[in-house]
Amino acid sequence: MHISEGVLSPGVLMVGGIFTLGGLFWGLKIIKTEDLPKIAVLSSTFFVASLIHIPIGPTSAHLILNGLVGILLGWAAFPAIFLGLIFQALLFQFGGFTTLGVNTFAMAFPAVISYYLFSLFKRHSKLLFLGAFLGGAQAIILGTIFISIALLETEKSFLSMVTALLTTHFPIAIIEGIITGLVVSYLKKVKPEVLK
Amino acid sequence: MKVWLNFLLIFFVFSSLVLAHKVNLLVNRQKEVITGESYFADGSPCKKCEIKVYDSKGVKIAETKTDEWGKFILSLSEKGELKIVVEAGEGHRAEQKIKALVSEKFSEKREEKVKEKRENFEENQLIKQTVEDTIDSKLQNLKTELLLEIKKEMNKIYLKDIIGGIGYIFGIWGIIAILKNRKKVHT
Repeated sequence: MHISEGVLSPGVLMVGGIFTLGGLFWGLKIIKTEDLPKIAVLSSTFFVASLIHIPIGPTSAHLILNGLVGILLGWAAFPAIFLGLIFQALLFQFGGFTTLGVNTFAMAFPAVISYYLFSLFKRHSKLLFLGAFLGGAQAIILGTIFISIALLETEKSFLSMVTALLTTHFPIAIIEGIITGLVVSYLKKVKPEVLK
Repeated sequence: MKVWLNFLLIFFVFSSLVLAHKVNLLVNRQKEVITGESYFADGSPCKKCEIKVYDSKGVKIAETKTDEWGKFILSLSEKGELKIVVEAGEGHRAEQKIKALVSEKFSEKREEKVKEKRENFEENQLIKQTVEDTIDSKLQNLKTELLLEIKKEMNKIYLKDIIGGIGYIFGIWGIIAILKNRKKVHT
């Protein structure tokens, strides 16, 4: 789910850029120094996740893991994902620099939603896995919807594109939900303070 | 935590049989025939993708689709500079410019010269010329094939890029940590 250069109009790019700047500002403001190693690890996790491909029918889609990043980082997901996307564009030519704003917002905002969604569940240890699963899956679905909205004026038929994107990313959403659930339950056991 | 982090990093680095969704486009022009190939970063072909051809003024002059192997062939009378765009849908897009055909006149002149030569010179000269021409055209084909292969190699993702990227990310967060700490010390 990386939008390439030259697909979107300047207006859409501007709106995405402004939203992302807001998220970056707020994310960097509330970061605590002791959280920085955690953010760095998740930033690079996001950076490499896009290289893991899962074949689905005729096409394939890659992992994104923005839900996991969001659950563990909250608003700091914005700078973490932004940095991951910069290096994906720089080293792998995924996406591009002009679309950085739109791509960051479409990945990081759902991540922040995942954070709040998970915080509803995290007090009940029995519902922990379910909360993380929903957070991980939700981030993909919402991200897909944001990407579709950004492509609204470029693609001919909005509905057919949304259904195409959702059908390829629905299995990814399930897989990421499970991965997020497993990672979060494991962290709860070995290092519960990460989930505070 | 440490063990988990190490595990995670190792898992991500080595399971990355490096596939992703960036679309690449390679084009080649030989006189009026334009051939090209479109493929994703993992080398899989971009099947049935839309190919659009624009002239130097940005007007669309031709349109086609790639075949099962991601290849296409177009025959165009346009001699100026062209821009070829591939659209793989879902926001994936790549473009390539190809230079105008300037060598056309030159090669025509050369052919005329060759004709003159053929009439005037002895037979062995003629044979020599023919052999040279044949070798030239063969070499030209080989060169374009090699160029395509090299370009494909360059578009691949290597382990050094992945590890380098992780290093950069850690480095940048390290700088942010230093800056944050400095602020703390000041206050």
